[in-house]
Amino acid sequence: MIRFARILLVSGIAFCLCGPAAAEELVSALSDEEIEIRSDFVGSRIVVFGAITKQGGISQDPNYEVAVVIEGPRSDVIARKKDRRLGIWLNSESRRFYNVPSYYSVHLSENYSAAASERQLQQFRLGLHNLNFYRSVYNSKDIAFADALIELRREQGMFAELPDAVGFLAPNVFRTTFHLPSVIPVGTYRVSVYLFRDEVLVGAQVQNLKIAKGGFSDQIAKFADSQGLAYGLAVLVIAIATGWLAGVIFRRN
Amino acid sequence: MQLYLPIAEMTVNMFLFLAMGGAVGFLSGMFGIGGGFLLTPLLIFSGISPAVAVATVTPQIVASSTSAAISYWRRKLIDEKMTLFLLAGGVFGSGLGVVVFSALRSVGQLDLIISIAYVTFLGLIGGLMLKESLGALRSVRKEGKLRSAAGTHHNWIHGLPLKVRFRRSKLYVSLIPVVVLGFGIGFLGTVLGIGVGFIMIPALIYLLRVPTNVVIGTSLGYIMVTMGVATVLHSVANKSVDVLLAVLLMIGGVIGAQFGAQVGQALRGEQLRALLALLVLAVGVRFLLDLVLPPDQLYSLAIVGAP
Repeated sequence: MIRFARILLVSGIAFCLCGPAAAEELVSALSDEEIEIRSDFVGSRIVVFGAITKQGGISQDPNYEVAVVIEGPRSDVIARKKDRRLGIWLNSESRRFYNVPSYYSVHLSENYSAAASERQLQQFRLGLHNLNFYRSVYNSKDIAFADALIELRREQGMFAELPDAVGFLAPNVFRTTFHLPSVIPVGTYRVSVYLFRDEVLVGAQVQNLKIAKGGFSDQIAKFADSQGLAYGLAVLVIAIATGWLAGVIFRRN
Repeated sequence: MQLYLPIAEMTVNMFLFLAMGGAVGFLSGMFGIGGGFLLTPLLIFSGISPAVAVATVTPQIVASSTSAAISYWRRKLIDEKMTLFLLAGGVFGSGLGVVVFSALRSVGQLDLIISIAYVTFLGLIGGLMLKESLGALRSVRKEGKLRSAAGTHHNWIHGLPLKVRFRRSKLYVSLIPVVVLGFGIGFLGTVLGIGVGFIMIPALIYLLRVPTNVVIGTSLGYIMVTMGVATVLHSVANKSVDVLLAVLLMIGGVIGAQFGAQVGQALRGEQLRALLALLVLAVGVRFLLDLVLPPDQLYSLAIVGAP
């Protein structure tokens, strides 16, 4: 797949060099377009490549900045807080956040000048604290819940924000590697690449990345989901058979 | 070796869970218990979500109780009639249990209820067993023989109407306490993911005066069926039974039980009961500490309705 991406990339560059582009052209590719979660899944690595082309060639010191985002399917999340009541700790207050990505990781290039770019990051909703669910809360109590959500997801490896993670292989070619944890939920992910020059967005590209259970894992999950009764009975038969077999072996001993 | 669990949706080390099943199987072979009350918290502690842990322990209990029940069946130590009446209540108890389990999970108080129930039942049963076994140990040392566990006096339960004769248990008692007991234990077992043999056995001995030799077989038969029903109901209602995790636990459990049974046979009954009581109390205390000590993480997340 990586080789395929390279071919894609190279052909993309070739195409753009000949094409009648007026400004920058951004081409990017993923090392994989689909990730299969099989029985031996321990997480995965996904590489995003990109190239920038411009008619007349790019200048010596182009000052490009790149942000690459991988975002998982969204769902609502309830954050609950434990409080001490009658001497025991129990869930008391909760907040519901809407459309929270199950996975969100943003990689920025190393020359991304943080201070000047803060406004841009906000504008394009880049970064954990610029996500819609976070920006929709205002009072300090709600913000504490939203902060806790981000912190917990970060600990699980589901949220990440890496400032120095996109490397330039050449002034106009960049690459970044994402590590997806083994607990990653299935679904269609969006991989977005943003290209800035001198603090202005000059190009963007969005691609889909499909993460699905594959092989045996997929068959079991589908069976359990679509035919709960048959699945339950099958598990029961396995349990009784194992117990019976054990009973037979025990008796022989 | 790493294995992705399709329902728990996480990758685990196979050997860790085989070993976990083995360790709990060892104890269950040694003490003659299902071990669900140990296995469920162990699974939760190792990162499996409480819902999957509780649901997946049910088929593991089916497997372990089946293997033991077969040998009791051969020796005619199961009172089938009593098992059936207990089950009549138990099926409804399990059904209500699954509904309550789903409701508690959506309200976000499942963990709390499980913890409080564990503290209550483990503390109560562990305390009573410890008291009884220490008493037995003392009297063995003093008189060189064991007092009988249950008295022969009739209690208020024997005054209830709707009496039925149970031949194998040599009993003539009302149906009401039998069905109610079955219902309550079916309910608790489903909500808590434990086989509740450790509640069932004392209840049959002390409340209904079932002869001790028939109690274990009857209780095993009951546990096997209710946990079987719970396995199916959890699969249908919560879709939270992970078959791969269950198989790992079963294999480990079956092997562990073999070694446990050998050690168990080398120890005396009252020593075993005292050790089991300490174990039960220790698990209860651990849950109590979780409830009263400030938690490391105040916040928790729950995903609702994927779009």
